[in-house]
Parts: sequence; C-alpha cells; structure tokens
Amino acid sequence: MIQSFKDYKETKAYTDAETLPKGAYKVKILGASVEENSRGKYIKIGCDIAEGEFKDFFANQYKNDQREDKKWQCNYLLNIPKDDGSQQDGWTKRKFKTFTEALEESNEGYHFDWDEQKFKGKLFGGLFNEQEYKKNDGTVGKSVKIGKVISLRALKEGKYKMPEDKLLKTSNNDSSSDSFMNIPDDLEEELPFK
Amino acid sequence: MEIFEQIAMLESMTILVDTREQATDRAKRRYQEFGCPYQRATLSYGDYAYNAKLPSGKWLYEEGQVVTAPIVIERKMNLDELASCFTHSRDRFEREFQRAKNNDAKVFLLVENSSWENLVNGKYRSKFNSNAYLASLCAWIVRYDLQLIFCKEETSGRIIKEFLYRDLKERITRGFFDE
Repeated sequence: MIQSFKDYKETKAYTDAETLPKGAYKVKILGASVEENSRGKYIKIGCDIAEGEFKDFFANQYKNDQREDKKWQCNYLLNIPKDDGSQQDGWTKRKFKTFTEALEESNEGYHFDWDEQKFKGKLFGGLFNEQEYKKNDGTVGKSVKIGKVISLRALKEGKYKMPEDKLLKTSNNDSSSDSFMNIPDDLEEELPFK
Repeated sequence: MEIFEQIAMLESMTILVDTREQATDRAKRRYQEFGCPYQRATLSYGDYAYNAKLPSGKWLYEEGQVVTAPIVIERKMNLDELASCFTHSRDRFEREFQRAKNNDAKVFLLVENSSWENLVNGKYRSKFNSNAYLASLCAWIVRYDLQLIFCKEETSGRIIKEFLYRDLKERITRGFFDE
C-alpha cells in the first residue's frame, strides 16, 4: 500500500480536454501590450474562446493549472513593421494589416487607430493549428495556437482554409523552417524559395 | 478582477528602489538581476517595493508619491552594516520598522554575504558583542514579524524580485487590489 499525498483531493488530473482541438473559433481579445525582443517590437495580444463548447477555454486552463509559474497560453503575437523597406518587412506589414482589417470587419464601428489598447474586447475569427516547440529538456512539445486570423464573417460562412501545422525543422521534416514563422500563411505559396 | 486582468497587472510590475540607495556598480548589477523594470521612488520604509498598473490604468503609486507599501525588502550588504544599524543608528532603524508595523507592512530583511554562524561566531567588523547582536536581531524578528534572508550579493537581485513578485501575485489573486 502506498502513502497518499496531502493534497490528493485538490490535485487536478490531466484530461484530454486540456488541449483545445484544432479548428476555427470565435475569439475575443482580453488585452494587448507592446513587447520587444531581439527581432524587434511586437504586440502581444491575449485571447480566449468567445463562445461555444470551448468558451473561456484558456481562462479555465489557467485556473486549473497549479504551477506557481503558470502562464497565459493563448497569445497572438503580431510583429510591428520596422518600415525598413526589406522584403521581410513587407510580409510583416501584410500580416499586420490582415489582422487590423479582420478586426475592423468583425467589430462594427471599430476603426484601427494605432492604439493597441483599443483591441481589448474586440472579436475575430481564429484558426487554431498545431505548433511544435522545443521544451527545456530538448524534447518536442505540441500546442494548439492561433495560426491565422480571419473576419467573423469569413468564419460564419466557412470561407477559410485551415493553416498547416507548424512543425520544427528536423531531418525528417526539411520543408518547415523557423525562419518563416513571421510570414503570413496565406503568403507562403508566393515565396520563391519554399 | 478577471484572470487576464490579474495577469496583465502582474506583468506590469515595476520594482521601486528607494532614492536613498546609491547607484553603485554593485547596485546596478543587482538591478539588472531583477529581470523587470525598476524606478526610483521615495519609500517610507524599506529599500525595495513594487508598483503595478491596475486594470483601470492607474498605478498603485503615482510618480512623486511617498510609498507606504504592503511589503518591502530591507537590504544590508553584510553583517557589518546591520551591526551599525543596531548600534550607531538604532533609533532611526527602529523608527523605520515601526512605520512599517504601523502600516501592517511585511518586511523582509535581506542580509548579503552573511550567515547565522558568522553572526554567532562574531565574524564581522564591529565591536558589537555577538551575544548582544544575536539578541537584537532575534528580538527584531519577533517584534516586527520580520522574515530574515541571508544570501550572497550576486543572488540578492533575483531573490528581491521573486519575493516582491510572489507577494503581488498572492494579493492580486486574493482580491487585495480589486476596485
């Protein structure tokens, strides 16, 4: 017989429901902030599922996470163009505008005015795909994240194409590359070196 | 406060460094270890506290305001400095802790490059008798409900940040800042 641990009753078991199924969802923005890393500035947009079976999925996931260093798991990172005239920046600009136009189309009366604080409360369509990442121990983990942003109208009418899963570059998977992480999925077919 | 607002408030945490602390090279290295923004402020007691942005957009403390924080870290660079506080500047030291107590503030006393053993064995540069030193420190801990932390100077930045961060997180979760 083994000894029970003290918080057995309170401990939450892992269930399949802890992973959001891939798919298209109505998404609400909870907050946005400008951040910076070595590549430049970007807007970190915190989101959650707005309606349906998985409404508030990420809020519930956060509540049930018992780790002290837990993090919000649904952030859409939108690179801010550098306006440096580079080809990469051109893709960044298109992705940026794809996002702002989707917000304008989805939220009546909203016009993008460069104030990221006004993103809060806005809705859009989010296409969630599977994305691989390298864990601290070197193994590969998978998470379901927003791979593409569309308008609510496109979501409702089913006029969208799910983005492909983002896989880490391995010897068995040479066609996928981290360096293209910033490129909008719908532009990939235009790349001359894909 | 909704969960995401709690997270946003936590992410806005800025460490307040008392204006009386000199910006020596050692201090600058400590600030870099924080791994979060910091700014100078006048603290009523303690050397380090936190500021954070409420969901309304207001900060807990406005610029220029004298800060009477619910938690502070009082840092001493070694047992020599702490001994001086218990001897030459005991009245001032006592007044500072009394102000914290009057505000129901939690004080962490962090002493770098020290240990109980060094204190008990008199391994410090002061004529302060080690028995009297031990008695004063223990009395202080009990009287002012202090948490005493000994650490190396290269670790203090991270420890200061972590205690402030954990306190802010606990208070946010318990609704301490709900408007």
